[in-house]
Amino acid sequence: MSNSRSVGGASAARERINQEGNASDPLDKLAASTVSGLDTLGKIAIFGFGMFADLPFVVRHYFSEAIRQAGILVVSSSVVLWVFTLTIGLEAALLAHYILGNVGAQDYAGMFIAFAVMQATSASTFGWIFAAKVGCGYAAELGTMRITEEVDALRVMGMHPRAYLAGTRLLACLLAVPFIFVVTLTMMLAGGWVMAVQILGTTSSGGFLDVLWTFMTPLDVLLALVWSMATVVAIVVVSCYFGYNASGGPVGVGTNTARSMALNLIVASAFTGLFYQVFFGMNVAFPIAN
Amino acid sequence: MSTNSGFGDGNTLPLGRSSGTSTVHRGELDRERNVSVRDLRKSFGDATVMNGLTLEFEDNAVTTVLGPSGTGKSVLLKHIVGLLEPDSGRVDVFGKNIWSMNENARAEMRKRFGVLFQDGALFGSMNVFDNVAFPLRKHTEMMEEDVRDVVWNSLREVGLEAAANREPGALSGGMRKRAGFARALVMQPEVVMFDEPDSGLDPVRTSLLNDLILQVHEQHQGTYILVTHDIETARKVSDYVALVWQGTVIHYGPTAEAFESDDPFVQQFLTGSSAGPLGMD
Ligand SMILES: Nc1ncnc2c1ncn2[C@@H]1O[C@H](COP(=O)(O)OP(=O)(O)OP(=O)(O)O)[C@@H](O)[C@H]1O
Ligand SMILES: [Mg+2]
Repeated sequence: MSNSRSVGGASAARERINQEGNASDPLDKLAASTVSGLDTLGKIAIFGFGMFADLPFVVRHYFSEAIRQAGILVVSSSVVLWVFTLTIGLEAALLAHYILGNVGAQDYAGMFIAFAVMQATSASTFGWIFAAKVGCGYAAELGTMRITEEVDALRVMGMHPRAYLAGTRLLACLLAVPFIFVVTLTMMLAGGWVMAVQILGTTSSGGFLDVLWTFMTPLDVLLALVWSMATVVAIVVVSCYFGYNASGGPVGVGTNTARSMALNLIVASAFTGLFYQVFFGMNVAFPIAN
Repeated sequence: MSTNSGFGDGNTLPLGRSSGTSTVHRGELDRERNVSVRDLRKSFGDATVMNGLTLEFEDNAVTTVLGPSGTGKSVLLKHIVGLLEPDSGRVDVFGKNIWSMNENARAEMRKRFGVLFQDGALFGSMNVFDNVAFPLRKHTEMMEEDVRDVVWNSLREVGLEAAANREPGALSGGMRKRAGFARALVMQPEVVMFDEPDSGLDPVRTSLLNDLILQVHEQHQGTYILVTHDIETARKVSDYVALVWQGTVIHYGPTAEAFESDDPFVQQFLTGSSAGPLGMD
């Protein structure tokens, strides 16, 4: 297999360090795993830059494949995201009904939905589900193609495998995710509305929407979209990296899929901490960071 | 692609096809060949696989590469098409060192190649028909109608018409091989490399496939490199035989000469005998 950027490069670094110091020394072990971790992160970054550098080529030569991938994304993954987020909207409104009801503030159910759902939950949940559903799929798919020599076969046919496999998936996500995310957000808000207005009668429809739009602006939607797009790009890069560089047969594909899942969950969580603070933490109407 | 049924007449050919297509003689070894490998060295970790291998493949001839399992035949093919970069040595294709060109130039160069991988390497997400059509759709401006004609024709040649709509996962090993064979030849490449086209095939199909190789080669010419473990295939199909062992070439020459050789390695390998210098290691 022509696996020049093997993930195993990290283990070489570990080995080097093990040879220099006493392998059983915990400090050395820590140093070794730090080096190999950074090594992998560096390789992922280089791979990611490569994927972006390939995009013009993808647009020119593999656009139809990118569209096909976008179609697969919408058909096979969006329903999971939508159903899941609808449930979250329903639950949040249920919570709002009883918490706010206790203090006689039912009319503010819309505020609850704006802060708890729109700002705190929409993009972060989107990232986690996307990592599980789409990220793992990409890692396993590309990993299998790698070990069955399909990647080599593509290259032998004069194709650019990284552009054709990873680049088209990145482009597909850039094209389809804004749409999927906006629908996802709509599902969450609709879930809140259904529960608060239709099922529990917490407040009136007009009241709910009025309060909702008092605490939520179109700019918030845009910020949540930016946040979710950043998360999705990171997830696609990580998953494609681990899939494309899989080696060592079916076991290797499994290992790399699990690794990509773990890293993607960390990335989605870290982005949540970062973007929540930066985008919504300074909100004077509802100060979290102050 | 031929219009002939291909798998039709299984008549045997004279030993080594010495009367055949090759007009090149061994004396002119300094002439530039389409495919040549010089002093190739490659190690994976501390396992040395290519150990100074040098081989100039005859143009427009079928060369079989024989050698014990695990000796580096597949690795050699991957070097020729630029999937593996040698530690040292060079691979020249159409007169150019493939590692002194950029990746785009290599991609262009590869479009003149047809490769059948040892395990077929069919795309699991497409059915057999789309697999064979893939190179045509990606690299030619052919109308879909013409693509269909060409693909049906090559599927007929390898006897896979009935399986055209099946996914690779639902095929037997031999069927995957035949589909990979059709895909490798569909662009009428100038250099063709088959990694064990005959493994996993029954004796009759092996024989028919050999006829097909000869027939396609006769029609389109080109440099054919064939890795096989089947001595009969080597005898029947090839103009030249290269015997590879432990990362070097221990014999290279016209087929008839190889089969008459009194070198103990060559003799043992070509007779498939357990007695001789070759062992399990
Ligand atoms: N990507 C790789 N990484 C590490 N070792 C490899 C790699 N590819 C091949 N090898 C090793 O190189 C040696 C030669 O392998 P190769 O597949 O070329 O053998 P072969 O001659 O084709 O054998 P067979 O006739 O059984 O197909 C083997 O020992 C194999 O383990
Ligand atoms: Mg092999």
